[in-house]
Amino acid sequence: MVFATEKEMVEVIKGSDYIKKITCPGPCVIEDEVCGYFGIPDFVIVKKTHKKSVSFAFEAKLSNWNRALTQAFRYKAFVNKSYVIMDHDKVKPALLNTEKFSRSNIGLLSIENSGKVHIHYNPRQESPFSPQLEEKFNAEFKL
Amino acid sequence: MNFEVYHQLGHNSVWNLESLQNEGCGDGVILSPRNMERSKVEKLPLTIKNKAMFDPQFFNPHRINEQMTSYGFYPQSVTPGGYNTKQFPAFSSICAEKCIKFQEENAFKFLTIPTQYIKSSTPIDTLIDHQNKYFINPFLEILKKANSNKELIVQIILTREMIKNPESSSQLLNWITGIDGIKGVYLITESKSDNKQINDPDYLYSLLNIVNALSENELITILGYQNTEAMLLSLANPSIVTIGTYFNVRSFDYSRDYENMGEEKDMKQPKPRVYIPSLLDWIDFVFIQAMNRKIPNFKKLLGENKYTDEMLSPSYKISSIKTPYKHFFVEGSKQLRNIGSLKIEDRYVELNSIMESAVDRFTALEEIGFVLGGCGSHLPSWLTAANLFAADQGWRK
Amino acid sequence: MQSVEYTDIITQYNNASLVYEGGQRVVFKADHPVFGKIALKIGQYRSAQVPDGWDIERIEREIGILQQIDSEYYPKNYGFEKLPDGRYIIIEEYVDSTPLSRCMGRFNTSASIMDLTKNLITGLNIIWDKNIVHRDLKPDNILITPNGFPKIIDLGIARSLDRTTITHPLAFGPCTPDYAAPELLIYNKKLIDKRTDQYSLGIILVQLLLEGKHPFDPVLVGGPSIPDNILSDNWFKAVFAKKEFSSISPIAKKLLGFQQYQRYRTSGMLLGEINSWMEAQI
Repeated sequence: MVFATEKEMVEVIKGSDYIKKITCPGPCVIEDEVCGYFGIPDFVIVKKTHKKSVSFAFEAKLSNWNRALTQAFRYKAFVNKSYVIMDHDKVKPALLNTEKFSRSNIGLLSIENSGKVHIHYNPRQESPFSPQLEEKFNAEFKL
Repeated sequence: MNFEVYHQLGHNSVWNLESLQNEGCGDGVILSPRNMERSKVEKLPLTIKNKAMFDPQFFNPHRINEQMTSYGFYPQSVTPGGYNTKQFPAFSSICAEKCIKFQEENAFKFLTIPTQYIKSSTPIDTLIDHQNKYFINPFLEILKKANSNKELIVQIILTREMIKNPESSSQLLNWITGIDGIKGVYLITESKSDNKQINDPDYLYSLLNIVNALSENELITILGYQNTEAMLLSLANPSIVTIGTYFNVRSFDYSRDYENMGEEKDMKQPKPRVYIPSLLDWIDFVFIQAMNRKIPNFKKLLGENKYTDEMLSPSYKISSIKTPYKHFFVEGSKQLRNIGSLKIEDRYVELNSIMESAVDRFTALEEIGFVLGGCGSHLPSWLTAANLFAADQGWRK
Repeated sequence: MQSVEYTDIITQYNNASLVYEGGQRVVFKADHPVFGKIALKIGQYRSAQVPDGWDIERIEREIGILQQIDSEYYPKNYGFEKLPDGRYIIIEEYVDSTPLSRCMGRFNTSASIMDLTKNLITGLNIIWDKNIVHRDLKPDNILITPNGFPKIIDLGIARSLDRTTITHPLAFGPCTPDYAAPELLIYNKKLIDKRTDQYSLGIILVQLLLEGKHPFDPVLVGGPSIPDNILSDNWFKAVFAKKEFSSISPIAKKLLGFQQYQRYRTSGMLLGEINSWMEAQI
């Protein structure tokens, strides 16, 4: 069954086991709709692992994977890993273009109403491509 | 015939003037009373004024802002109660006289006759009658008495619909080319494009034909509010094209910028974008840093000048928009000058090559992994418009 | 049609001889003590009693224009009188000439044709400069003197671009349909300007190249009629396949531009191109 709104989808994602695995254990921050960087991700996560922080950005879209990819790519300016999350019932068109996701190193996930997350592409961790935005982001979300 | 590059002045025109005076970028300026009050214009050095065109900007005679009030030639200063469609013809000659006097006193390169912005829904006959009655005839009457030897330019705004409709554009061309005594046209076109770059090949092809018709009538053809499409329109042999800073001087949008003049909210700082000549597009600044990391010799693609060095330096503050605009003046004007130095048929060959290379570069960037959204998506439309126009001219072999 | 009475008038002139009679009008050649050889035109103007008469407003308009002009390209007007008995008298310069329509064969080289065209433009420029459009330029209205010089006549439907027209619109508007520009055929008053005369000149130019055949003639290009062909921009462009005429093609095609913006914006531009053509022939 499809999600009615992106907001609904975002709430289900944030409560999913997948996100719980990222956020637990250890200190982390989840923040919705962070502004002032490059684009506005639906939510970001900053997770402290060992001595370093790893940052994640998520762009949720019901169906327009192309637009989601463009936006998610912008978030790589200030986070280490950026993802597109789609409604599992509508992810097929995106799955026909996974090479675009792998080329740009953007994660592709899809989620069912039950909260089950399917991982179609898991991105490599990379340094954000804007050192200034990375510095600003890390200062805002210091753990 | 080589064309000149003028700065379309708007907000922060000091950047344009610095670029023109100190770095030789461009050949002149188009002055905007909306952004620069009278005393500031009067204080400009003669070296600038002699290479300037003053656009009286009567686009919306119902409304002016504070800077425009300082000029004293708008209806608001002349007619009791401001502009009134029924009343204005009785006062139009007074506005014309004051406006011409101001232009003459300041020794601008041209004398400009303004016209009003008219919506597309207006029948062309009505538009022509209105512009003749309210602006062109009163101004021409005053100019006859003034006996000036300056070249007379009429400012005309064409909407997207007027440009794309063959019947409308023919009527308008018949009218414009039939105005006695003018030496040129300052053409402002409203594309209402959904994207930052115009990507409607029919619009671009129609506009190329209009500019070409004006040029073939030996009218000085000045293309205002140009973005990168000035490169494409160079095929139609204009006399002057413009370069500018903020998007509102690189595109004309009446409802966005002039319909509610005087009630503007504070301008939001635009996102810094950088012009990459080899891509024929503006790219968000944040991508520039990634490109510099990933693409060998990226600096060459960006253009080698002091602003490039500044922007690529790790200490550079990405919030600044001044440096990207100064970079555009250097690289944009250079690119325009290069194409302008070529004979018309050769411009087509060169421009085609630049556009096709740009398409290839965007593909290469995509293959590296860059997702630039709609950037570069205008290029197929530009190639199409250029090819159609070139075919008409017999340049395609 | 009743002929106009003229005996009482011509007896006042020496050596009066009839040149033309017909349609409520007579033309005499006579001697004038001051002006020398004159053409004396006597006609009946339109009234309730003479509905077939000439349009007096049209005549007065022509006289008004001619009296402003002092040029070798137009017959000089020496006088005009409107008589209370329904007649009018025009005294003007007598021009020993033949209408172009009857001597097209005299212009049988591209050089002579372009020379005539240049003269016509120079002549038309005199009224264009006064913001007057001829509107009825055709071979019948161009008189050719024995030395090949043109005189332009019949400014009766000429229109000042400054005033509203007083002529009565016909089916096509006031003009001769076979030599009328498209904007005149659809009678769009607002579009009529000096470039309207350029179009008529273009027809005449190509007609001379075609040794008198009309370039829009259905015999040459098909179509229902000459005016229909003008309105569909259908004319005999194949004339320029002839090597000696090919260099004239750009000028002719521009004069016959369907839209006014496709013609010459100023007479200076047109004369410039003709002069360049002439220099290239040397």
